[in-house]
Amino acid sequence: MREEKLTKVLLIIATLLAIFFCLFPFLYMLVISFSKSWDIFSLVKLEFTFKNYTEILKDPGFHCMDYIKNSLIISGISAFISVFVATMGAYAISRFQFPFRFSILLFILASSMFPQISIVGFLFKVMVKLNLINTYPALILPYISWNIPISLWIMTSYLSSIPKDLDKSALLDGCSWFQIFIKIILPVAKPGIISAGLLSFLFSFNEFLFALLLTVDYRARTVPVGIVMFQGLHGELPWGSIMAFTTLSLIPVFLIVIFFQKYIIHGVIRSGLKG
Amino acid sequence: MKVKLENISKTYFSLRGKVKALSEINLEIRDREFLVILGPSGCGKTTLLNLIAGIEKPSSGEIYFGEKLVFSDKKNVFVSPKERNIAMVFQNYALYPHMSVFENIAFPLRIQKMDKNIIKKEVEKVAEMLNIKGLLQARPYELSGGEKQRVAIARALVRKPNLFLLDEPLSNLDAQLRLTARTELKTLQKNLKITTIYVTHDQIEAMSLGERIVVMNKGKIEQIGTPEEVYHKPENLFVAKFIGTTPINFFVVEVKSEQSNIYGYLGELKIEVPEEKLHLVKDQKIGIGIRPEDIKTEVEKEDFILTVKVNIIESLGKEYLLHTTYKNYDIKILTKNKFPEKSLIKAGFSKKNLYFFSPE
Amino acid sequence: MIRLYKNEIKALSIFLLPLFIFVILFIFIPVIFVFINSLFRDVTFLGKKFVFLENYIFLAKDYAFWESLKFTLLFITISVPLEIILGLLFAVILNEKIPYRGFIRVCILLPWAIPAVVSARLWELIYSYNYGLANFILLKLGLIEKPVNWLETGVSAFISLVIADIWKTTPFVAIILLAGLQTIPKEIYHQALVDRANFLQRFFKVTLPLLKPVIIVAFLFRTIDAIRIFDLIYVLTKGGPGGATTSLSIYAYEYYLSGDFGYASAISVFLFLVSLAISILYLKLSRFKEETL
Repeated sequence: MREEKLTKVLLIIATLLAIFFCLFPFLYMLVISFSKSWDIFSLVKLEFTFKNYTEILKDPGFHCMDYIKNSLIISGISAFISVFVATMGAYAISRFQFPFRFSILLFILASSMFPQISIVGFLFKVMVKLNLINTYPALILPYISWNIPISLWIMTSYLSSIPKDLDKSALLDGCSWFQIFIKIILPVAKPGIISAGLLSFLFSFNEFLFALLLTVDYRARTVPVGIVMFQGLHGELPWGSIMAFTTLSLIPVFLIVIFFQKYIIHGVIRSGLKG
Repeated sequence: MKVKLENISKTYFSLRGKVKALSEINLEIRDREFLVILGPSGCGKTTLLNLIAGIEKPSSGEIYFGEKLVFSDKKNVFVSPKERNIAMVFQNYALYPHMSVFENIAFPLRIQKMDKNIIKKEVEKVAEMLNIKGLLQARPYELSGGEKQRVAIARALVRKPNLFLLDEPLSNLDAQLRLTARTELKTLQKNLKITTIYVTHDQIEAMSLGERIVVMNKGKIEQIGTPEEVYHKPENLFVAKFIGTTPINFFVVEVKSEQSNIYGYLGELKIEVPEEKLHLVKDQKIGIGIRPEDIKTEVEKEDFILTVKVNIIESLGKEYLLHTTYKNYDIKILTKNKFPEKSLIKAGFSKKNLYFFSPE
Repeated sequence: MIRLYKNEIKALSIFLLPLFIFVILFIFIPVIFVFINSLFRDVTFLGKKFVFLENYIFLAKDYAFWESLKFTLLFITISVPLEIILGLLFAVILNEKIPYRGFIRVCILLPWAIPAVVSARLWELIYSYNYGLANFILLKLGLIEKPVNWLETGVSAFISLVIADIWKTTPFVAIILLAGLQTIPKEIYHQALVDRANFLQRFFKVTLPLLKPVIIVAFLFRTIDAIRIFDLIYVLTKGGPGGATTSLSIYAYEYYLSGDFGYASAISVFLFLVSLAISILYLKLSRFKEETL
């Protein structure tokens, strides 16, 4: 009995430490974003202020809302298209017998593991040729492609778990393959689609290297680039404003994690380990 | 509608190589017949059903619906399942989980773009017939197994199919429900007069439902016949073993010719092999089968009488299954009488109840 | 062979076509292009010239390249095992029946879900010499006497990167391992309890051996990710001080930036081949089987 109590106490301590470890940088971020000074040594008495927020929101030169808007649009569109395309592919792979179908799946999955740096040079050249640098499509198109493998994997795993008898039944009820896809598979696979969509959204929202090289200014720059490029006026980094901007831009991510944590966890599990 | 299969074969290709699921199936299903396909799991019966439905394609052969050719590999004909007007009920019912019961039943009609009012009328009609009117607004996950099965049948019947296929529709129900569902199904088919093919591994189900039974094993048809025929005149050992509540007794015995007759020797018993069964003899041996229920313990005018030793007694409710030995043969006997274990009893059987098979 | 009929081939191609278009256009063609480009001298303002393996020969003799490879490998061998250990701890916690599980899950997910550069920015402030949290706490606790310039010396910059990377990626490891933990049948634990095994014995004798395959998968997955590390280093040290934290991706990026596309491509190809080798190992070892389709 004593041992059990001890393990319980240890477990609670470990849990609290884990939570603290995960959260303290966020708490720090919040505190700095709401205080007048970012010098922790003089922060003994906190001075609360909204100044950091009003400053970056009022001054159009910071373009904070532009970055957030760009990120939301680019991530949203690329997540939507990549999941749709991947679900179609997953449907074909899980439902049709055709040569090399498993090889195709593995091949595409392997491509999600390529280092981004290995293709960014080519993408840059192509986007310059197509005159797409600093536009939404310059990021949306590669993001779709880079999100497809993970979405395809999640959706293939999900669709394989839907009984094939449903398709057969719909086939006999007079559906064409497309009708089965639209009327049966899409609605039934909704949880999988949400998982894949959220992961795709997060990946696009967080991507940095492509965005760094393929955008030039606030018209297409996304949040990660915006945060890295954030400069003060006098050389020294204005940490209060940076943290205020960071806080604002993380709101979508926080909301997604809080409301859809189960879908995200399922997605990660399905993409990492099949089953 | 009549259905005819000619030389149907189906081969799968998997990582492990070729798998022959069906070979050279020839079968004719009569108009309005209730045909049962019976066989152990993996014998190809579900594949056969899928081929008839058009969900899968045969590797070779031809399929006719009535006079119409719906599949031929040589003539490159394939009529899609949609155009075959077939309905199927699956083992797990395959109800669409995201639709209400009403929507599930209405689905085939909606796909045909029928008028809304007609759909409503048709759905209600079939729901009434199957006693599920109260469930129309429910979702599939709220239904019990029996209710799901009714909804699946309703969905199958709503568009008045030419051919009704059932793939083990009762195997997910508990024993009690299975019995009533069986009776209902039979009545329904009688009233609707739809040609029906029913797949099962349960021989009792097959015997009670089928007008004819097709016994299948390892992708081949072993026998086609009425329930009485497959029970009383099994054409081979597989059928004899598969049909019947308790497995048949089977002995391989030596044969010797004496004067003009051929006899098999089961211990001291001398059993005459009828002339039409002589072709079954191989290497001076023949297989002899007798059902446990055909061996009597109240010996009167049986042709063969022997003394057996009772080893184990299994109670089956109102009957007992005796595991006995005679010489070095194990013999199972189904009887109403109870005997003490280790006792020696007399048992007898008649010539007419014997089956002869090839010795392998 | 499997014979498909006309309408099926049509359906199949329509379902697969968009997938192929995107993957080929933006993943495979670029990769092939980089392969080809690595055989050229492709420097801005100079003519493009086929040099065959010259870039690779130069790569083999390039001291800075070997240094960056060394750094990348060292970074992986130190950070990934630490992430696995910590992730295992998190997973065990999440697997226990404790109150507020949903809340704890959200806390653990957050570092993983945010952009890597954002997490880098948070840690940049924490590591700040003049007003950072790290120096503040360590000074208050008396563990250091004067502030440490975390990102400006080789060893401390390395440690700083490892800690920031652990914070960011441990949640991912935890989720994967949690999934593995949940597949271990409860009966085995009941049996262990009956056998009077204590918590640690249960962990080392039951959990760990059964979890081994999943740990290997998580390990490879993390390795594939860590080998291309870019964002964190770009923000925190830019590869400095004095190139001490230049990862392969950062090294290639520097050459892209300087306009030497040919040589940058050669570095990229090297990185690509290493990733591919690990991916293949990963796919072989993880439980991906055709039968489950």
